[in-house]
Amino acid sequence: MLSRIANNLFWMGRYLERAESMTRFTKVNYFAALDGPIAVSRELALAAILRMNGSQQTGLTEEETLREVTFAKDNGNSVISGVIAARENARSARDVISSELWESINKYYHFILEYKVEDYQKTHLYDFSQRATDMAVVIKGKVDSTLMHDATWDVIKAGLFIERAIQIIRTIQVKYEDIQKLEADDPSIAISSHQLATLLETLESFDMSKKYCSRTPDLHSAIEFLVLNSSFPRSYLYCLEKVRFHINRLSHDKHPASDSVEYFIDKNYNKVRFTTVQDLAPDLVSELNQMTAIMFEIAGKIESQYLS
Amino acid sequence: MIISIYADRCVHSVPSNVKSMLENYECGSHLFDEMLAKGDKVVNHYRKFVKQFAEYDKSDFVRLKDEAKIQFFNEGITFATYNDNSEGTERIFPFDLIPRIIPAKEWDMVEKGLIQRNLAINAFLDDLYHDKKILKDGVVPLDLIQSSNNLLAQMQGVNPPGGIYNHISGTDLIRHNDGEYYILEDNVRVPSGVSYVLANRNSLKKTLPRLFKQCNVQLVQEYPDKLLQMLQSVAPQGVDEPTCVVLTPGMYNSAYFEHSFLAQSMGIELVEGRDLFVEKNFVYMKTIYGPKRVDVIYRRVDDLFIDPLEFRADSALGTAGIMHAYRKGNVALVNAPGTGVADDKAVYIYMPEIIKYYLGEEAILKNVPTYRCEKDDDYKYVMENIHQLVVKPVDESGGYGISIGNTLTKAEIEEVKATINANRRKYIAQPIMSLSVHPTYIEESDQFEPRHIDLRTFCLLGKDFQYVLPGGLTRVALKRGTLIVNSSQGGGSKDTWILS
Repeated sequence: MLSRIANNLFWMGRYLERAESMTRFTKVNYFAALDGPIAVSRELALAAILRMNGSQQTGLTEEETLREVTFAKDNGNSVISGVIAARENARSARDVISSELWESINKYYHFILEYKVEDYQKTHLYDFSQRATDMAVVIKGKVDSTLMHDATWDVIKAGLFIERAIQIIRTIQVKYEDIQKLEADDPSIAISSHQLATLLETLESFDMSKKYCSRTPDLHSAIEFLVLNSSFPRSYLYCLEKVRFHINRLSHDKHPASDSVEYFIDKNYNKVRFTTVQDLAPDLVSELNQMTAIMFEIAGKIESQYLS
Repeated sequence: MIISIYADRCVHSVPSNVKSMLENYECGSHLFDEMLAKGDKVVNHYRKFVKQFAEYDKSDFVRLKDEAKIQFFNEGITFATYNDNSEGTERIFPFDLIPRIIPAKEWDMVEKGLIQRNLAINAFLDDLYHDKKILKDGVVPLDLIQSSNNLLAQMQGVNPPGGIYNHISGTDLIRHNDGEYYILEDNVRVPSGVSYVLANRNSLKKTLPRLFKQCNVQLVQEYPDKLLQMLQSVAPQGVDEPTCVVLTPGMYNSAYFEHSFLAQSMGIELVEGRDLFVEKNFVYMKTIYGPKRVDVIYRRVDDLFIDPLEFRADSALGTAGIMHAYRKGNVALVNAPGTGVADDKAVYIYMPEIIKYYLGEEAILKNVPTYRCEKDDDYKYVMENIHQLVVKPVDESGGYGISIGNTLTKAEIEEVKATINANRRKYIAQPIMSLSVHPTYIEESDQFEPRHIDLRTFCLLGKDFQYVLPGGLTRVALKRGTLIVNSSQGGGSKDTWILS
């Protein structure tokens, strides 16, 4: 496979996951603020949505915020920008992906491009988010079921899981900041558990985490589940393991050098695998930052080793 | 002397419900209608089709057309035009569901004529870049060739692998109101459009399966296999399993869909200039596992952009050193650089002589009478009769720069005259040919109306290999009365059925 095409596919995977993550974050947090405790105001939710998006904009109204994170083409992190970029990357690699996969991405693109922003802002946020998320899931299904499981697939999947890991950590960080802020203002359990539930729902892990913990998880067990669980597809460790799997398949090197991406992934995978939530707790913020830094470094190493 | 096979057209009555669909259909008597004849008659080879077509009514037809449109849209079968904004707008190539049908006997003649013509062009190019016998013998004027912008000094004495220059030719044919086919122009640089032939066929099969089943239509789907076979046949000497690639200017090119479609359907890599590099006169592509040698390049990049070391130094689309590797015989370029000298519209005039010179045969397909503005007699005639002539630049494509005499105002005619005067070598003129018409569904009027059509054909030449795609792209001038069919000028297309 051409390095340039591999690079485009890697980014296609990343953009798809990024757009999907932003869509879900906006939906869950927006609706959670509608019926939450009074302190969990709409302003707080909107601010979280903007923070998640990495937007520098301030003083936006609700409608402006929704437009900014979802439909603003001049915001590189908006859902629409992600989908446009994913589709551009797919288009450049059309000859190596299946027409089924291409069509599913193209449909997703046209769906978002043609959606009326006013409808989304006023009445159809749920409808839009639900349909967009479903389309993203179909795309991922096509990636798995219509491509050869060869280098093309490995590169897309590596991009997808790296981005997912980054988004998981980012979601935890944003919600953790909210929880800390709310607890400082008014240390009542209701607020904290409402925010935890929102966090878990954002990462589609509310049901499974309850099942796993045999109760509604507290902060520690939620973080343990989202970061260190090896069998839940939206945990950091799971994603790291998948990245390791795909890069090892891609690699032709049986004894990777100590500066290779294979080596770096193995080293960090083993480190995270034997980390406990007690290890993370004393300095959660910097531990989470460290997790993101690992993913950034993996992505950088993949790019220089395979994609350029 | 070739006997006309069109003189008598066997006709039959149109079934009554089809008749109602064609209620307001009016085709002037001076026009040649491919499907219908006077007095509600249908031409013989359309009979089966029309019989099946009677099962639908117009609302079915409109619904099916919308479905086909959505299909094209979702599949991203689009082209980009750059008129309206700098980003380019993606458009669907308008596609009409009523196919154009050509009987086998007629097609046999077209096929033979195309192979003949393109073989002669190949011999002509080989001669021009080697001994120039045809110029020495005075069959084609020396100054006409020397003044061509598309004659490349870089190709002098080069022996392309397999001895082929115009591997892929996209000859345009029209049918005049005398019922005869004429060559409108030769395209031997980087002709495009074949992907739409295959997409139209797929779409029509999905939309009107029953209609399709009834008529014995020759397959077009084998084109990618034939193309690959041809590419492999011209691999450099000593390469048994050649690596072939398609070279595209990139995804912002208007024909990008076609480039990726062809690469995908042949199962070969689609590369850009920046994916390739030349080392020790061999061409390599950059892959995730390091460099891989490339043997045959089907390039969809124009001559002047192929190699910044030899042509335009500012080209970012090409690869430095590729021409040198080509001259060394280490890589095949398809089509060869410098073929544009042969599809010059002033050289076109000499094509019957060129065919006779190299093949010793009469041309099977006719030329449209053409006047070279550079020649004084012709120039005089053109100036006096410009209102009934089509004036074309000799070296442009896409329907750009064409003026049709009878559509111009007095001021515009003066303008055209001034343009010709400024560079007589650059212009030719032809009588206004009456392109044949075909019933076409027109959305604005919600009716079937006659529209002018032509036919872009696709002919492949390789080492000991010849193939003509049975069918081609029937292009439709969708605006009422206009003769210009190019997609960039608001044209559409039809599926073309060659009966077996």
